[in-house]
Amino acid sequence: MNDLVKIFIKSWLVDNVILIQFLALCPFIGMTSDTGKATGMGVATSFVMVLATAVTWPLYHFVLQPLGLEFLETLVFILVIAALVQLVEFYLKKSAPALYSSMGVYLALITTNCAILAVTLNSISYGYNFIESIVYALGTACGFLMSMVLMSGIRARLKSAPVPNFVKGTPILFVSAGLLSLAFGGFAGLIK
Amino acid sequence: MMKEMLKLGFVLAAFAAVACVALALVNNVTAPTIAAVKEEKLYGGFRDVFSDADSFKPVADFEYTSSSAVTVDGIFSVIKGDKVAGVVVQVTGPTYDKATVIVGIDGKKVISGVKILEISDTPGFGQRATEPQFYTQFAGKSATSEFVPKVDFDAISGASITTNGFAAIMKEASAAGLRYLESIGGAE
Amino acid sequence: MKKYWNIFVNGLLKENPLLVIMIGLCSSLAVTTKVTNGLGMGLAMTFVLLMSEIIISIFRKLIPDSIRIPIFIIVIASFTTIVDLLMQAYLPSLSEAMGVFIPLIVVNCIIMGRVESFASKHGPLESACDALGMGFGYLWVLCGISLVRELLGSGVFFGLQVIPEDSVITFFARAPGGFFVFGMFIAVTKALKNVRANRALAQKSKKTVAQNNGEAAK
Repeated sequence: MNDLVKIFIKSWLVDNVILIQFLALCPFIGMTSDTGKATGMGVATSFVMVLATAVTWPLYHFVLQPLGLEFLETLVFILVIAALVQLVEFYLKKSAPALYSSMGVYLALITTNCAILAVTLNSISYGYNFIESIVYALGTACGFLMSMVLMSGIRARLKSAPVPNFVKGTPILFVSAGLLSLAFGGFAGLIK
Repeated sequence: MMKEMLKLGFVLAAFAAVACVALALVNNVTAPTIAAVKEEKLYGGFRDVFSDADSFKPVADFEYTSSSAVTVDGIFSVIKGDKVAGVVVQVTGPTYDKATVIVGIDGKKVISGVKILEISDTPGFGQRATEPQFYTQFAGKSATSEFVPKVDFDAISGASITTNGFAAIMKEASAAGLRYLESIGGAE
Repeated sequence: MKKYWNIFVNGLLKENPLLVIMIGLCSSLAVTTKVTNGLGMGLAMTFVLLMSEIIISIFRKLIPDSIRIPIFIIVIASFTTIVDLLMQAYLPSLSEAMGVFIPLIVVNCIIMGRVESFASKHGPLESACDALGMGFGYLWVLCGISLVRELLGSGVFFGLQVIPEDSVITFFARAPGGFFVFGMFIAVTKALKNVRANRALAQKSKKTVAQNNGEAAK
């Protein structure tokens, strides 16, 4: 249990997927213009992230590895993720059409979210067992959602802030992200 | 409709098949080289911690559970001539980020050498563990030492987390190594 | 001939994937702690982009529209795996330094984006030029960021310890620095674009004034 808590906190805060590991930057910059979008994207991505890990882990350990097909890992994992995103799209279209249309093309883009593929690949290379992988995915997902919401809040403030012309727009976003990242660096000593 | 689906499925399968064949080919070509690289990575550093060894053998049937956050990646017996002359323990432990270290212990329970295989700490701070003046200081110390920073060994200035991490690494590696040597009745 | 050159140069500056279109960011910040890493990543990505664009362009008439995304993924993932295996075998230290970011090339939006918007609609030679342009556009920005981060963060410039280790600003070698340097690169790019736009505007208004004067004189 102790290990699981450590993995969760590590992936959520200490190694925050966006602010420390630099993954999933495209949605971080593209979908944080308002909190609603950020939350929606965060939740959808988190769902796919955990689901993808739950599917790819057994696939690797019970199919690819025993058959000596580890080199197909990247190909198989990304196809699984693409298929899962398609399923989520289908489901959302049917049951939450408003959310579906507000997300537009970004829903399909979850497939190319580096964080999801990274989590599935890392679960294998870190040698986690199934439960550890799920906890790792959950922690990463929490970190992702939190960073997205934080950033959307900051952007809302930035709209009314006196930003110098030189860095107006995207540059100040990155500087803010840098400061946020610096703050998260403070979590480094949390897990020994 | 059915015919259309079948055609699509066939095209998809065709692409996938070609891809798998191409990858299998490349994999076959590169696999031996990759295995050699991994082998070198694994044992390449071992001679640095146990210079007069003839060979190293991974120990298969020795159970050891670590009592700290440091994990024992592997225990390897040092073969000299036809006898076990010592042990090399590979551990991975948390430092500022983490470090993988191999520790050699000879039959007299003395550390024969320490080598850092991997460490991903902050350059200028924890990463300075890779400076020889730090990691070579462990050679010659007793494996039964408590490895208290600043008391039993010199710390890295400005990097207390890394230093403490190394203390734990040395303790666990030594404990594992000594336990193994005990289990085989000591070594020459 | 000029057409191919234009396609190539487009990716370098005008439609630079990182600074202008702003896609493919993930791998760009994480690997830019050292110039060798930035260079390695740029070359690996360019290779995958080039091969993917060429293959998909060659087969573009044979790829049914409804399943084009999975097929693109298969092609891109295959070349990514090839690069991964080749690097593990022949460039092991670089492969280790870049870690999970090599397989992550498959989800690099740049590749998916160019394959979808360019390669599937143009011939192989043009697609190759586009790939090289975009790839090198990615590469030079990566190297630029790495240069700054390595210089300020660990004092190394092209392998030489230029700034003594005790006086480096570690901020730049860590995550926050990556964000900051990249933000500055974009700011500079925007400023340069503004300067060019203003200059073009000024030239245009000069022309209009001259024309009006010419007409008035008639």
